Amino acid sequence: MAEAEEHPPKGEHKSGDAHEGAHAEGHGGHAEGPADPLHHIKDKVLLGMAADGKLVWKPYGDHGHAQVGYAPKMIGPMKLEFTKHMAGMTFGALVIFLVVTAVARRVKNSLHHDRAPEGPLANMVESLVVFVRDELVLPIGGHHLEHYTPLFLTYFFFILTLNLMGMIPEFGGVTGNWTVTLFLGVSIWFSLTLLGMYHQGPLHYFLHMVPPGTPWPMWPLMFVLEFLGPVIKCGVLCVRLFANMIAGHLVISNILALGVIGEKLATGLAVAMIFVGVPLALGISMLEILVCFIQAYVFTMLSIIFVSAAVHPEH
Amino acid sequence: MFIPEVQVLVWTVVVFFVLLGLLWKFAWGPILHALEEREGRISKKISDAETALKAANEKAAEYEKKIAAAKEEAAAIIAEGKRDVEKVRDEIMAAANAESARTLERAKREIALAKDAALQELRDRVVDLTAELAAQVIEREVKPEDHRRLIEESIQRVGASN
Repeated sequence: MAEAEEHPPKGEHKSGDAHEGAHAEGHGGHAEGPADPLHHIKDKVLLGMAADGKLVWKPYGDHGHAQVGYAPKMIGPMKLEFTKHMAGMTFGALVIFLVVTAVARRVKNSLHHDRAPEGPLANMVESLVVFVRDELVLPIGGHHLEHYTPLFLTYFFFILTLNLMGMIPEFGGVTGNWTVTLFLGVSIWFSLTLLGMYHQGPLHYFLHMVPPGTPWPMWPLMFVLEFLGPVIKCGVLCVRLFANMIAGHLVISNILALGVIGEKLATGLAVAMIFVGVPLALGISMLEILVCFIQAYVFTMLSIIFVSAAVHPEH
Repeated sequence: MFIPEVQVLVWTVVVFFVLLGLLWKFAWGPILHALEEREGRISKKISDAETALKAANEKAAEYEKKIAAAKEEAAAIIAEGKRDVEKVRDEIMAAANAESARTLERAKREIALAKDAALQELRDRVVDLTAELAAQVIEREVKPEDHRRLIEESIQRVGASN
């Protein structure tokens, strides 16, 4: 939110900076034409390794134009670059690790004293853990999936934390990056395939994808369809999370951009649009916080359904 | 932007799996274990409390029964006491009645004896007086044995005529 409003003064302030030549150029384009609506939510490279092994800070500036003479060092198809979303994800993971291990320590300690843990942090984490276990894993997956509760807890906390972090300006919407959600969807597909093979036996798992009683001429077609089922479901999981999260960020940044657009037309209009846009963006931000929880819940719940279906085909 | 960024993908894989492993070992495992343990303890406490409540209820019922029995016993003791008291009173009354009857009887007997003695004495007096009078009337001395015999005969006659 604040980012969109900060841009004009930031651009003016830095336009004379020699290192930010590309940036200033990019910003010039931004100032004249309508802003790229995806700019705000795009991942940005924070640190890149140039082909000659030199580390470059923000090699693409803020607007995607590479600095003169910069080409990233490649390992196969992988660029040796560290982006904002990678940093955000790492930070989020660190926060989750520190908070949850601290809570775990407190829960263990309080167990020794035969008491329930006290404190808002411990109670919050514990209530979410109990929610995932008692409202999602056990009712959907039954006792066979109870053992894998930590897996789904990690998905839930990872997605929830990154979603919520996306609501803080400058942290970047990590779950609005489709590479990240692609990993999440694909990892669910791997989880359900591996767990299905583990629980049913590898051959049995693939043979029983096709419902029993299918006429044999239909068998190959059904096998392909049934095999594609979880693939598509996991793909949808990826797209759903990505689209929901990015949609919120887009709506908020574009509503706030109303002021910038208004500025091009008349100064008074810009002020009026800010007065309309900021409260509207605030309302949608609150809605987005709700969406952060809902999407983390939906992703976890659907993953449990898919994994449970793979582990127990009869369900 | 719709081509996956390989470096982001690789980084995500690394971060996620490191997080998953660390949390599984150091956080979720202990938390879930502690939760289960606590749930077990709580349900044990609840069942213990239920057992204790049941036992207490049973005890209370038992005591109530005992109290009722004690009340009954007390009532029985009181009733028996009343009966005993009545019996004792009756006995005392009977004894008193018998005693008074005996006393009356004795008194009657003594009266009768006294009457007999008095009559005997009277008779003796009459005999003596008669003899004295007869002697004076007849003016002759009769031997005391004849004298007595005569009077006895006349008394016998008087007695027979009665």
